[in-house]
Amino acid sequence: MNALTLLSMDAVRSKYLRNLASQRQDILRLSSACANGPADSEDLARLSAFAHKLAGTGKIYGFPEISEAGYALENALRNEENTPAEIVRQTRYLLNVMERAIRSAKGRRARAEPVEDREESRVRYSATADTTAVSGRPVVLVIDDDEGITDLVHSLFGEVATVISRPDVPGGLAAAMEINPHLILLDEQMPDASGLDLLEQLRELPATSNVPIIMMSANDSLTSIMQALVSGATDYVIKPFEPTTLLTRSMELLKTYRTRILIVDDDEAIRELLTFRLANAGCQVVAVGDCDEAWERLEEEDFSLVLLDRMMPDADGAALLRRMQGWDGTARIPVIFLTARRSAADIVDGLLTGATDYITKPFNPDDVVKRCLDLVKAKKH
Amino acid sequence: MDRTLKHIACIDDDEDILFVVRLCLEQMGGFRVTCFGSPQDALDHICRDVPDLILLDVMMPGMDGLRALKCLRAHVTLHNVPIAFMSARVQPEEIADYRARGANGVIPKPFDPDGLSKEVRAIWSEFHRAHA
Repeated sequence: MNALTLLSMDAVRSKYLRNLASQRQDILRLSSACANGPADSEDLARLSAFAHKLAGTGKIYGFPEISEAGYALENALRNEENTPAEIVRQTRYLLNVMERAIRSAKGRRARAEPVEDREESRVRYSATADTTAVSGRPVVLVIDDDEGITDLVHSLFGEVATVISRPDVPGGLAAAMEINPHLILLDEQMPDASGLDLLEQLRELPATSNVPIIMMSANDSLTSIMQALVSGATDYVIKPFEPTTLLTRSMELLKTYRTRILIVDDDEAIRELLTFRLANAGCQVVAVGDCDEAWERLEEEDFSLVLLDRMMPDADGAALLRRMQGWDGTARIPVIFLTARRSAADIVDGLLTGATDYITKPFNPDDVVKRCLDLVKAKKH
Repeated sequence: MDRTLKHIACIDDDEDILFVVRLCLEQMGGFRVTCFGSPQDALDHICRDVPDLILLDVMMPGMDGLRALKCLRAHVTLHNVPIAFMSARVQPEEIADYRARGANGVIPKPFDPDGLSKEVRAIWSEFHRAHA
């Protein structure tokens, strides 16, 4: 499933859970009507319709128990030998299962690890960081004492991002240092300290000095917005916000701050060396050996930068660069030429073709990494 | 006739189910999906823009899936289109009943979102093997 699919699945699952709560009320009403005297056939039909619907849907949204309980109740209603007591019993069971589903979904989201469990949580954090590095999912840290907000963030980002929540300032600071989040969502008014202070502390830590931070606040005065931005907030969202607003702004930041580099070089050793060095610097790297494959990737994926071998045996790097310049989707991606041709005329020629930078082989890998990161950073501002 | 499965029509009164079906079949299966909230809405449209396969919910208010199936089967343009039921009632005798009434396959509800494309493809292949 791609990110959009997962996101949409998660949205529809949240909607299902919301409906579940209201359906639960209706079923509760019907079941007490049935328990308090001779059952009204219309009520029973309605109950049966609910049971049927739940049987056919629960599992689709990840709640197989609801499907099973719905199916059992529907069967109980169809069997005319069943006493009202049996039907009430099955209905109660379904209601319990629904309640559990609603609660488990909440519990899964508002998980707050005990603070004293330091050693264990550190292990867990690093495990989280590792898996995200592998799957390429960004990590979002939300620091807010309001369970409603952390719930919302968990459900909004679903499986598009790994969301970690902390309800207090010390927990938030510790998590920020340990998990290297790609984005921090910060409540301005925490019970134990001001979010503004925490924001300043985060900006002073090397691990989080460059991480985008969105301040969430009920305070809509211009002064406090300015203050947050001056103190280092990347963006400011006023509570109560539309969930999509928060999501859109977050995704925008995650997109910009995730650096994806495409390496195009026919030399496998160079591809491996640069992939390793750039990945260590926190970038996501895709390395390909020819221009056709490079173009396919460029058409389908977003890259922050392309490292391009100018002369390959079967392909012309300069031609790929011209092709990139001719298409809106790729025209603005900075390109660094990697080449063994090092005469001044070659360099001038390369830059005239439109390359943003020019690195000659043999190169110093540290130098390549630095120039890549500088270019990506320059493009952001 | 050499055909491929590209276009799927889905009829269900639950708009969330339609949403999930569309999501699964479009995003994961790569099919074109047309959704309808009732058989009445679907009939005209389906005859003009004939899909390669039709997914039909059994229990719907108004016209239920079994009656809808009769209507669809009555159209000559749809003779070569497999129609599959989506149903939460999938006991062996229930499935046999659906098939006896002309369904070419049954997808049990609740379906597994990840596996839906595969199930649909299997029903389509089976239909065309049998009608080859």
